[in-house]
Amino acid sequence: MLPYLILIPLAPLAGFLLVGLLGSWGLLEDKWAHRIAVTFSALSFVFTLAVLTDFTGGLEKYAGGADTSYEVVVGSEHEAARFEVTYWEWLPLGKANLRGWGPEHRLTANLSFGWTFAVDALTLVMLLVVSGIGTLIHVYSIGYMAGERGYYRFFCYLNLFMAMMLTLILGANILVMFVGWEGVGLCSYLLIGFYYDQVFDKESGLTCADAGRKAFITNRIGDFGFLLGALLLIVTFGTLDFSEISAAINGASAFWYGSALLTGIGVLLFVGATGKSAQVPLYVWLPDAMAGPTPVSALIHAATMVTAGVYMLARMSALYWHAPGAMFVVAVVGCLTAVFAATMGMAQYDIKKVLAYSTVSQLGYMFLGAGVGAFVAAVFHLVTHAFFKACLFLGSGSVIARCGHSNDMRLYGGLKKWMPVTYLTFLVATLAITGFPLLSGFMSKDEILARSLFSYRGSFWLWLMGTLGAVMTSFYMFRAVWMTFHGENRSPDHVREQLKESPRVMTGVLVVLAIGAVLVGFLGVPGGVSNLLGLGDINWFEHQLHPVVAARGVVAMASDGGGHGAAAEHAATGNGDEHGAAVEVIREGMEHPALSTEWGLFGVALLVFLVGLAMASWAYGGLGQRAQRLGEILAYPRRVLHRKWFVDEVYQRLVIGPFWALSRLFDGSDRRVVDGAVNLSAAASELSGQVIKLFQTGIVRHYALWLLSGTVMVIWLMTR
Amino acid sequence: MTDAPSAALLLSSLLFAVGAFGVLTRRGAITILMCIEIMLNSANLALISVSRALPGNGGSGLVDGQVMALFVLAIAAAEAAVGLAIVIALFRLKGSTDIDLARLLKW
Repeated sequence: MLPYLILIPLAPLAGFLLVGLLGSWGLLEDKWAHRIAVTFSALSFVFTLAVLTDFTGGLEKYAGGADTSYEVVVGSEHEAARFEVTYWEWLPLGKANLRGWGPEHRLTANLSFGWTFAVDALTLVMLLVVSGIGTLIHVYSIGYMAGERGYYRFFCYLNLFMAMMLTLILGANILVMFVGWEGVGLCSYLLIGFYYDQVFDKESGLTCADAGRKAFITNRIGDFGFLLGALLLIVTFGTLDFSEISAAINGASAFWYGSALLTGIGVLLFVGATGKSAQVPLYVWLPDAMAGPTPVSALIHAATMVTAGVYMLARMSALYWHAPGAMFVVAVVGCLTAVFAATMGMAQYDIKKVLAYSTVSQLGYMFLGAGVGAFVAAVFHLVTHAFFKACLFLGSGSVIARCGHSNDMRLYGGLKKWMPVTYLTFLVATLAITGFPLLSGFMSKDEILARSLFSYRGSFWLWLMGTLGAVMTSFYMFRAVWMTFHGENRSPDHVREQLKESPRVMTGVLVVLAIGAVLVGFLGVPGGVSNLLGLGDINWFEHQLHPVVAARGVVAMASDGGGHGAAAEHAATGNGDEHGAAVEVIREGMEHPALSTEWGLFGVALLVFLVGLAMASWAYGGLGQRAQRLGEILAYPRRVLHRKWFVDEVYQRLVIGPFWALSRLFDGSDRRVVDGAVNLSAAASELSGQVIKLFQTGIVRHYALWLLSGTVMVIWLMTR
Repeated sequence: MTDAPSAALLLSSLLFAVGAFGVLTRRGAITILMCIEIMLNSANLALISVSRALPGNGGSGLVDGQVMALFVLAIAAAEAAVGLAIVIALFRLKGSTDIDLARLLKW
């Protein structure tokens, strides 16, 4: 199956073409639109499973084959197992002389970018998440989108999204990845603007189409950085292939460690990630992306597309390991985002906005994890987050669909009576995200926090901020649960009379995702937790993924058990004993965690969960009067948070306003100066025409006279 | 008096001037056509007299100018045919051969 990897993205692409073409010709009944879309999406999940079994069955049978389009790494202590297949030469650019800032400086490279797909453990994890959860959300959409205008259009965009996301994941070089990267951006734009003629935000009067544009343009800014990073990679290494770049960096590890060039590339690529994954300062599009249908928010803006940045960082881990400066930027930005978004999530009344800020915040945790070197924990949080956040979004979709398409939590309340399945699944997912012990969020988020404290690239402050964000996470999530499902119902009468549970096709998906949110955490039980439980090392996820993202060369992490690695890095940085001593301490912390420390962290995590729960239930339990009173006391901070720290207004003033002014200037100069010059020459020739036409009288004798006098003149000139 | 070619050239010039004057001043299409014929024939006269006067061909002069005059005669015939056809068409349209009536072709 491995050589036929391309079928994984091709299946939903075929579904896209089929649904799109037949639908636009008006040949497709609604039930066939979703049948085709779901089938092709499920097909790519099946192909993924086939690839998974083939991959885990060992790559020896492909190694050393005659077919040169394969590139197989069987997997060893020093290199992760990988299978690459090139389908066709895409851009064979030929030989090029590059500046090449590497150890050998001038670099003659054979620049050639192929349509190459690669599979390793990281890819497989992402493939399973995207095709699995993607298919579930396709199924859910059958119920949610029933009877909507443009039904086939929705499914055809969803299928295109799947194809692009799978391309992004499978791409073996940045160029193929970039095709998927832009493709998912396009689908995100199309789906946010799905209800393109409706106003989604009454305060600002923005339409859904405006929200789509905002997402697209904000992503463009990030993509600019991403492209610059990719171009720098080309001139530095002469290739965009992930494995070749990693090999080049790891091969000259001591040379590259801490080089300003790698730091620059790392930061530029991260700028792309801040756009795609909604980090400070480019996160502003994600809350507005909630204008799209709820399944889209669940699939694209929670589970898959927005995690592309994290995936990209994990893919480029070799580069980031060698660029501590870039990693520090990533960690700080991630941590800031986690806290900043959580504060805004606490004061929103739109249930989808709460979940959107929660997503931004959780993505921040992933970047915090990646930034302190816990790539595996970041990707693990990506996976668990995909389950519980998809479940939360789909649960909110179930509520929204039954409450007359209102997102306002002030109009909910007491819904658990009518919607028990939605309530239970939403509660389970909430417990998971807030870190209830042994649920998936506890396993992944608290692992990230622990790493941010212990890793030698982490610090106490990062941990403290992250923990603060976790308290807020617990608060805003339970606030949402309380306002939505508990207390008195506050819906208008005509809505309340029709309240009932959502159809099976929706609740079934919710149940599957909730079960996933409980169980998926056990794939990657962190070392600390398993020690507490006395289970030994049962972190399956870490074992699978660690070889892919492991630090190699001089930065072999202390926690890998290679003491020489720490020493080598110490030697490479060459600054003082202080650094080396710190590395030693970390190795102790990671290798043989003191049981008391583990219990302490466990206690903090539990405390964080309980504090948030207690605050939310104190304020919003009962009849919500306490929240009312509290809101009056804290009117000003509440308003600031509700208006999202006025970030949109600041951007309007500082970026968009000046940009418009500049645009108007260019517009004016184009109309007046450039067009003026063109119009002037036109006016000049018209004027001369007006004069000269007077000679054309229509009387033949006048022409004859001109002819004669002209002839006489010529003769006179010639004989003069 | 001057010698033969000079006299012929003088006559030719006079005829050309008469023809040109006619073309520029008369309004009747037929008259203008006749004036054009006069101009063509003044040119013929000049060609032939110069041809006679030039040395060559055993003292009887070059025939080139005379041949040229024959061509001009042929062209004049064609010109007369086309010109008269136009005049007839003009007459049918306007009921007159006054060319100042045909002045539509302008801006």
